[in-house]
Amino acid sequence: MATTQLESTAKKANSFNKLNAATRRAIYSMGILIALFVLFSAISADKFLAAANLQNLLQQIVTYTIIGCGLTFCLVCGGNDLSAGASMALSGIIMVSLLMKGLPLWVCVILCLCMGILTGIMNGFFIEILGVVPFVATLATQWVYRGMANVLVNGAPLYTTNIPSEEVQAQFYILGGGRIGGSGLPYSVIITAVYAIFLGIVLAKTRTGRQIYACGSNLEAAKLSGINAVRTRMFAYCVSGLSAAICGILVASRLSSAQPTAGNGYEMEAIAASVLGGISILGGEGTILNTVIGALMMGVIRNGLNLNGVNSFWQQVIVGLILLIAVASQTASKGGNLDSITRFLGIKKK
Amino acid sequence: MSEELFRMEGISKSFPGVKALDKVNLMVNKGEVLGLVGENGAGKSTLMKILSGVYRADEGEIFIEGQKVEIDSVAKAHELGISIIMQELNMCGHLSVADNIFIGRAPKKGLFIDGKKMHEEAQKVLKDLGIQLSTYTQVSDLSVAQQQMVEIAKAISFNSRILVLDEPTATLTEREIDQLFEIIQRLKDKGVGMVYISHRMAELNLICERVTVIRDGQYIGTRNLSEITMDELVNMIVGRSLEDKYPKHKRTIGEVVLEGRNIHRGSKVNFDYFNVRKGEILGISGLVGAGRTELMRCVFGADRPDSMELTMEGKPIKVNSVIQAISHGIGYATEDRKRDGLALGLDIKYNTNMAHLQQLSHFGFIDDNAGAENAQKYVDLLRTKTPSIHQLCGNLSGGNQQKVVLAKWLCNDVKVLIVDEPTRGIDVGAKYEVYELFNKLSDQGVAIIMISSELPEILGMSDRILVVNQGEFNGELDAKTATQEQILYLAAGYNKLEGKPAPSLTVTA
Repeated sequence: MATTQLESTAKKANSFNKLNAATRRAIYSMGILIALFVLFSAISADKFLAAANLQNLLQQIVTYTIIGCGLTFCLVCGGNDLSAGASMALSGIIMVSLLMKGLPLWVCVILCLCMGILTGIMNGFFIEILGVVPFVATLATQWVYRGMANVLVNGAPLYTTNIPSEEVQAQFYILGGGRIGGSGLPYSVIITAVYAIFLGIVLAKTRTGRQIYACGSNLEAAKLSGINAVRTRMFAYCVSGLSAAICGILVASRLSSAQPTAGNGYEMEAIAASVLGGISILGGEGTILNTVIGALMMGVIRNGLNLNGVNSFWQQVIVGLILLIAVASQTASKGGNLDSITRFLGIKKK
Repeated sequence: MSEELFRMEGISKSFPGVKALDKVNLMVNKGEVLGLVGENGAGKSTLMKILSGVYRADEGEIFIEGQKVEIDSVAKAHELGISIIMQELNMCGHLSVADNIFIGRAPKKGLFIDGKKMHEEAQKVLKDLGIQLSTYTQVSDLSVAQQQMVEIAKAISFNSRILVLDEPTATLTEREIDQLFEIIQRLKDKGVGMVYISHRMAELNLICERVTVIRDGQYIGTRNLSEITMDELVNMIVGRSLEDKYPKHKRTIGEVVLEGRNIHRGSKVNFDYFNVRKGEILGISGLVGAGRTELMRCVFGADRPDSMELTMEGKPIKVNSVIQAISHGIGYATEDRKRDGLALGLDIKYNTNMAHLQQLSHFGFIDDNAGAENAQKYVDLLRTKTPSIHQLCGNLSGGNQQKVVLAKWLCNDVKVLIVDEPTRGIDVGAKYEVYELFNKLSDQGVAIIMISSELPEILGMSDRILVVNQGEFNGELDAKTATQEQILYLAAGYNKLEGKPAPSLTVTA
């Protein structure tokens, strides 16, 4: 009896170990997420579990969920995109300035999204065609995009009140600021959810998605298997650019203004969310689900700390530490770092 | 004369779900080279990792010069004078030879490294071993063989008494192997005991007196090589007798499938003409670095040649990219599985279908079930040993990895399959299976171009052999009548020195 039970636990543990590393980390992060959720519910149930608060929480994570989902494509194919935040600001500026010219809303949205894809193509061009390392290339284009955003408006924000038609003003605000029935779930959360599911399917179920994994896992092998690596990785940067543009539109809408300084550091939050959810920064593994879980974790931590009156500077410290601990414990589950600790301390095992 | 240096007794080690080693014994005398043989996955590496402190044994004892020792860390192993030269070398490519030899323990003058002293001492170590290298050379500029020598020098500078060499000759040319053996001889004279892991029987005969065989984690036995025939040894390794290392097969050779003319790329690739027929195995032999792989990379569209004319089944074709090559029915199983053959972090299913995604997708969406079926079909067909198609390729043994690489091309219905060192680093049993698979493919009319550095393999498997020397074909031989000496003679280009023309079978059009 006891042995069969032991066997079945061993079997379970074994099948858990057989899962791919990113899935394992997703399950692990999901566990932490639930634990945090329970923790904050226990500390301040009335405030934390209030419908309004949970809706706020979801709205707060819209930005880095969207950018993070786009970035996931870059990370999985073995790249990176530091320009996402800047490209988001640029999109917001372009969106509002187009609206101010009196163009219809849908035309502006499409043009703006094309602009986002264009920033991705530019990143891809420098990385894939000119061979600049992704980190450096997007570090540079980050300034280019941010600079362009500043140049376009001479450093001053654009307010949506300057849009000629008041009807368009109102429609535009609904995108990022509107809620179902006026006070329910924000539309931006629904847009985010739909977009994340869409990207999740693209990454998991399409040929291009498969090719992204192949490129991230072993670029040489992918090339020699007839995969057009340049086109595949270019696609990933375009998805990231597109995501930044969507995020830019939503943020400009919610704030009723486009700021050239918007989205500063969002790319880092997005990377943090992905890593927290279990995406490997080395490429080749991870799904959109990892990123979404990571983003939710960030949201729950921030929101919970806020409710309990922890000031925002301490929040930064805590978020940083949690990121470190989470990633370190992910490696620990591989059975690594106790050894290195003892070695570091020079403790001799008996 | 033979005095015991160290002994491992009753070593057992389990990993979750597998008993990797079960009461294995091993003993090495001073100044002796002991061959350690067994199939891939037999437990050789695990045993050596226990010796070098990477793993701890669950059971068993290790004695050095009769004294019981506990090896609980790599540092402890170093202290005891145990060093291991891995198959994959771990060197800092950006640093100099001397820096690498004394990495982490360079002689100091005050706070700073005493560069002069370090280079002097490094030079002394190299000279001792008869290695001619400048200690100032950057390691990444060295050949693999030279890097290996530096690694050995590093081990010796630790005052190692026990040295483990894990398949040291896998990537070396004949001449480099000779040099390595000279170094091993010097180490023997110094009284260093060595464990030599290799799949190459001929080498064991050259440098070892005794071999220890393990199979599936079990200790099979230790024999004097002079008292045992090759067949008996192979029998011990695989646990069944192989009638022949190369399955005899009657091939039916058809029309010419692929023809190549005027293939030039820089100075490395200068080939005038070759062809391969339906159902034929064309062996490409030559020294490592002679341009064999470079030629095939051009044919496969992976590198862009300066000029190249290809015809497939009589019709001229253009191959400017890998995608085009694949669409014309060419497949290429690369030389280095880990570097450019497999995505080790992805599973079998993924890798099998990697060159096959087009056929599996409808409107851009992947049909996962069809992919799984396809992967399972080839796992069954090639008898790949794995718990499931979801196993990560990084967790498979070399032979099984190679099967996945082959599966990747087979599912594309290739007409011409280029295989580059198809049996490198895989064991006898798996080799035989790969050879049988080649025979089956040639029955189905697939033309196989096989690049190989193993002469017996080239002679045993090919129908025709093209020998490459310095970027050009230097002779064509009939595999039935050719000898190893003939191939080596042509590979080294001696006929050119003697002013003799290269032998030829086909009439070049």
